[in-house]
Amino acid sequence: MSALPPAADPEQTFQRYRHDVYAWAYRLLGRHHDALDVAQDVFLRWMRQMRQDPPDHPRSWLRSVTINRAIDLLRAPRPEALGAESVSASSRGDDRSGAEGDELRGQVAAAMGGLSEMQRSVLTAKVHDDLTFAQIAAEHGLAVPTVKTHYLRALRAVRDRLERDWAPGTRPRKELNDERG
Amino acid sequence: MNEAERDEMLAGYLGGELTVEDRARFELMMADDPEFAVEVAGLRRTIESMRSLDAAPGIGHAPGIGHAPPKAGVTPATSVARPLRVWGSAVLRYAAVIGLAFAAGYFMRGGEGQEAVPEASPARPAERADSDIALPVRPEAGDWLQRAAEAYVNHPGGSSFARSLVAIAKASEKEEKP
Repeated sequence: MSALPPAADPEQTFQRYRHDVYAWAYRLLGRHHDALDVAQDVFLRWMRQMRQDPPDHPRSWLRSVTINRAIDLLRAPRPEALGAESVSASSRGDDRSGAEGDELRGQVAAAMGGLSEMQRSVLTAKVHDDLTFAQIAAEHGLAVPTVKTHYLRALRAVRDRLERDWAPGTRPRKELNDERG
Repeated sequence: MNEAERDEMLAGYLGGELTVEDRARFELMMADDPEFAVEVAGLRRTIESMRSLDAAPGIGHAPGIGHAPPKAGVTPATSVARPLRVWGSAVLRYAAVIGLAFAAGYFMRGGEGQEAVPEASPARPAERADSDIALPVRPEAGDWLQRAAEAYVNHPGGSSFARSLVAIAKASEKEEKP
């Protein structure tokens, strides 16, 4: 019997993309347990998806679903989203990177939540995964100029959101503390 | 240069994909148009802000989704956890397998929309018909799976979470076939 192609073998997919999936989730959620929860959910969805309609571009599919699930989790009322026990464990912040990091993470996540699915995926692929526009275009089945348009629109939307959050009176604590010396 | 062409160059500049000549042209363009230069600076700050999130702990070293190789000369901080691992290894492994089996079976059957079942089924799920298995609701299942997975991979000599998850998913697939 011949070996499954890489994309069809769930174990290979998991081994290859597990850190990416975790990192995509963690950047938005900022909590290890939440990111792990999303990662597991994403891979289980992946296995179901493979039986129904295998995606042409696994990485792109995983990125989109991970970001969507992370944003869903952020939007969901916490007790219903995770269960009371899990919330209390997460809220204790055993692995959080500090209030400033959380603040920025929350702002970026909120901004990402306002983007289209394609914009989120393209922006993440470019900013975090360091893919070229040509690679992103191939992953998403788009033309390079279209990818650049998505990228710029997404980036401008995130910038607008961050600038609004950083407007006088609503600036992040770290920046204010730095100025105070 | 029209707006579309300028955006094309802007994307290339921000994405670090301009040739040396195009980059020089673009920088001249910014020097000639301070307003545009301010916009570019704002977009660069946005990218830097997003990238700064990469420094968060846990990325690439997430327990539960794989082992990170220990750094040379650094003793892993496992001394406190080790007694628990040694004494509780059998219990943890058993609990993890049962937990993973329940949760993965639930997910693989398409758990969305299922009603909460007040009491979870006791052990020996394999001997019961699917309809008889009282599975926990999704959030608890996720949490359980997570905890089980972490316990499982943190146990020295235990199988990886990946292998466990995939094995269970495959078994679940096989069970679903008539």
